[in-house]
Amino acid sequence: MSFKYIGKPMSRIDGWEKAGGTAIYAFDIELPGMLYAKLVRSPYPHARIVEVDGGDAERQPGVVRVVFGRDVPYKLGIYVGDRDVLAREKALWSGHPVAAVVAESLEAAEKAAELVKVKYEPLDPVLDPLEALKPGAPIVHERLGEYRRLPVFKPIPGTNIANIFRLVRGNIERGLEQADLVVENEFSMPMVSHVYMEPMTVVAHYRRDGQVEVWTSAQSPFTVRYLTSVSLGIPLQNIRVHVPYVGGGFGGKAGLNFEPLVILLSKLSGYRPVKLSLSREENFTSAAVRVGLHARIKTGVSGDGVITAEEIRYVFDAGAYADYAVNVGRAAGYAGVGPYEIPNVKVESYTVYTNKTYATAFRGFGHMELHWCVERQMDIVARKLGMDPVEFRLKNLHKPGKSITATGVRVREDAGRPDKCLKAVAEALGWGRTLGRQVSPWKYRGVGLAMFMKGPAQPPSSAASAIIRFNEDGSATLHVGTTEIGQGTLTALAQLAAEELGIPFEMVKVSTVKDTLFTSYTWQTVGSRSLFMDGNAVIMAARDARRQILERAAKVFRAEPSDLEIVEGVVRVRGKPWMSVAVKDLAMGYTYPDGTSIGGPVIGRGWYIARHMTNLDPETGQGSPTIFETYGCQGVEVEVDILTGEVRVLRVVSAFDIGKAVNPLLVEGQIVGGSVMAMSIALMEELKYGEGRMLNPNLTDYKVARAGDIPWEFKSIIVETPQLDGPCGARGIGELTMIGVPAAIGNAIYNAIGVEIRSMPLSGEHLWREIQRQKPSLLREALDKLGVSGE
Amino acid sequence: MISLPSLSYHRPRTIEEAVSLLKMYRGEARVLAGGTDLIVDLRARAKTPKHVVDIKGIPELNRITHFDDAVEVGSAVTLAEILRDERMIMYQPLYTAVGMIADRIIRFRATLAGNICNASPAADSAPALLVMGAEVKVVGPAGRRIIPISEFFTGVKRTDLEPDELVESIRIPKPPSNARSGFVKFGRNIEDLAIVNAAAMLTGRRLKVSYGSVAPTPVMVQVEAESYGEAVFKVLSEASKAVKPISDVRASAEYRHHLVNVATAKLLMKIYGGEA
Repeated sequence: MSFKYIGKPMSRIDGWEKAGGTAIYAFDIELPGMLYAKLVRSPYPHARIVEVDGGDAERQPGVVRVVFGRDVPYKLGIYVGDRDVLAREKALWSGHPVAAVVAESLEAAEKAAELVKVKYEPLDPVLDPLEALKPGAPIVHERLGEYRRLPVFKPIPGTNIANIFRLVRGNIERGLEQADLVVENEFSMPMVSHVYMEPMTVVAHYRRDGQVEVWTSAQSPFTVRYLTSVSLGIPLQNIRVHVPYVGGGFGGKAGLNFEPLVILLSKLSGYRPVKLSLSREENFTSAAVRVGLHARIKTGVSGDGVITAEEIRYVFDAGAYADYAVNVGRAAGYAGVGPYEIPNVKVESYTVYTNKTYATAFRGFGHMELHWCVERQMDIVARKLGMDPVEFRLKNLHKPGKSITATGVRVREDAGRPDKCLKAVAEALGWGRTLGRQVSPWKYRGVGLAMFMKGPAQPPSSAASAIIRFNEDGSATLHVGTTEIGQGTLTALAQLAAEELGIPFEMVKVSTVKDTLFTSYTWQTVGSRSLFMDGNAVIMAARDARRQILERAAKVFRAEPSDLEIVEGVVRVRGKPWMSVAVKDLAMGYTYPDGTSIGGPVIGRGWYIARHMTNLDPETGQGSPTIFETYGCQGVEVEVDILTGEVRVLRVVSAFDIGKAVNPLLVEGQIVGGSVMAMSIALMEELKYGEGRMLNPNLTDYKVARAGDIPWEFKSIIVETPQLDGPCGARGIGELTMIGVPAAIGNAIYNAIGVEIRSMPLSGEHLWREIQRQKPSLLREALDKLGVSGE
Repeated sequence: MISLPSLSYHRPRTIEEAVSLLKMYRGEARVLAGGTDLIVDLRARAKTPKHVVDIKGIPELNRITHFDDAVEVGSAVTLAEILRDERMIMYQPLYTAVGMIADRIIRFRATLAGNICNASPAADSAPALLVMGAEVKVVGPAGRRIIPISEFFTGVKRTDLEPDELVESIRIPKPPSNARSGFVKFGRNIEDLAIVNAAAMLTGRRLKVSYGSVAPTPVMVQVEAESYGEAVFKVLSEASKAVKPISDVRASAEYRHHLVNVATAKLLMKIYGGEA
């Protein structure tokens, strides 16, 4: 089948607006009479709030209102209702907002915020999730048993456990007994920040008539509307959520964030609109971050390299609230062993409260974290077996149509080819030829790779919809719910629409700005789901509109719709192209030469809902958790300076089976962007804590990769095994591009210098310490050669 | 979103006007050149002046003046302007160091004078200026004076400048034609503040090595050495007495000690032509 737009590198529809600086973001919203809010944050990681006094602050000129937790007594939380709008009884982390000042100007609000008095009684904090699991640890939520929650998540009152997800398949004890070799390791990753370019911004207007309007930097306008309605008891139809362009989300702007607070501030400030825009520093300490992880993996394997059993305990650090973290823990639980067929599996995935900034979704939703552990483990096991890591993986990988996953479902026949991805990456890396070598007295190079899989973590009822409205000139306006957060999905959706409608790409206008009053519904912009879910809805809507146009044209030509085709905005009788009528002459209704008219404006509608997904068994986690899994493999070549411990990634090779690259240019962009983001996290990112406080809440000391850190060489291989129910066969890609890089770097470091890295980030100092611990001779010899002794 | 504090902004057209403003608001005014440190500090309320005196509008301070034996870089000259001036390339290792300060975008704004007046122990230009024997030309109500760079830094974020004094320019002697030099910097990524930075210059047998981010002020050691081996031994025995690094969020003192050794070896390898 040949396509006109599908599979073509179309330029982004939002490119000019963004590059030219005319794109509108939430921060740009200014309303008449608007007030400004400033947060007052707890300096303590864990403290009882004894007394609050906003009197002095409220007497400052320009100050309208000081609001404390008691003024906004609602509980928030997408899965567990554990979150105060502002801290009430206790402050749960250093940076926890305890009050908000609303004033006529930002300056007045800032000044007054310093005068807000809060008396704290400091409590012992718990910062380490493993400590938090121990008996006698300080309890973050004493009222855990009282919170509203979704039944699938089960916090354990009296502990810091927000949830335990259990995956049980086969018999783990027997599987381990059958093994010839059992290998056990521990791995970890710290909490990190999303560092999206645009800090959180919300403008809200609570009107006297009960109508609420919000402009927010959010990924999912409909979820903001729904959760606001549920949490604050405002009728859903009274809430209107606008999402202009979003300056990056990466999961950090999923769900509900500061919207309820600002809505309530507006209500309490005389129903005037209020803007809250976090500074970068406030965003670090007070907006949600990514989970940290501790993992213990025990793998049993037969002498010939078949994995017989795997037992895993994941402990996810959620920070102060369960938020999305419990679902990250769940997703990492059901996907916990990676893309391998293992008959005996036991995964226990804990999500644990600590006194740190709370964690939310992050590009990959636990899968980068779990694959860091699983794929480092695969290399270590292969080495102990004396087997090539590629061969070992190939032996155990999911086989489409045959393998049974750890959740007990058979892998679809059209699921994609993990083996092809692995072989392609190994080949491109020069596997077997470029293995670890010394390139200077103190520099070594090595290669490593990692496999992975991921599907969207969404409920079985997750849905999407699309509306296509034709205009007088034959152009079509496409309404979809998914937001443009940098990923480019809207461009790909426009390609799908143009292809199906038979009109030029330029004639499809996508509503890039979201408004729940007009935009068609989608569940959320998360999980690499949008192209698949919204894409299927777009195709259905386009076919619906196309059918209307063809039926109308059929009347004009006294033909059957099946006799007609649409080419470049013109409806023609097949084989008789001179019998034609422009779409624009049909789109709003057709007028015969004598003036009589038929039809009316064409509106196409489409929808899609997750199919073949099931709830998971509460005891064993068995069931069908995803609508698709994208398989992939990533490999890197690194250069390690053993004198400094610095690691430089020289090249990244990636292969994904995405079914169909609707827009190869955007796919390439995702691959490069995701790889760099993952490399940055692997090498340098960590939220550091000292005495319970975040030590690096700024871009001076929370480093992310910059242009000069980007590897010189990227090779992106797209494997296309169509998924029969995907739009044009496509599967999601956005998050996948991050997942393999950290483990590949860890594996490459071992390949280069034989040093095993088990925790991130792989900073120069960290690696230097590990070299001293594991391979002191390597460093000593290099220093001796340089005449530098005495260390 | 954080606002800047309210303050009075002055943009003098002459050095005299600038000095009289600094005198008038003595102690309550800060000089604004590139602003890449000052604006950050204002925003964080780490500095709370009531006045800022922007010197970018003073023509004399925006010049790079070349002499036969030296160059004078005006205090409003940006790092990007230094890097664009071809004749500056011979001023090694300063030229290399300037190209590694912050990132390309910030270098369009930041100034060399600002880098030393901010007096961060990690200032990347400082070790280079030290081994090159630069001088800071200063003007104040009492007239002009010259501060050798080795006496300029008095502590963390502290200099020998009086509150009403203004840096006019930095004078850097032209390195002898036989001089060999180098600059190295270690950071967590390509545009970090230095965990450790170092510069070295060898003229004849005379070797100077200077280190940043390892003590409250940049430190310098001077030795005489014939060979790489002798130089490494002598420099490190001196350096081990001079450097007193701390542990902070960027690196531990232990790692910094190690990087002093590594920096020394890497610099001297380059200077002595890859022995060892």
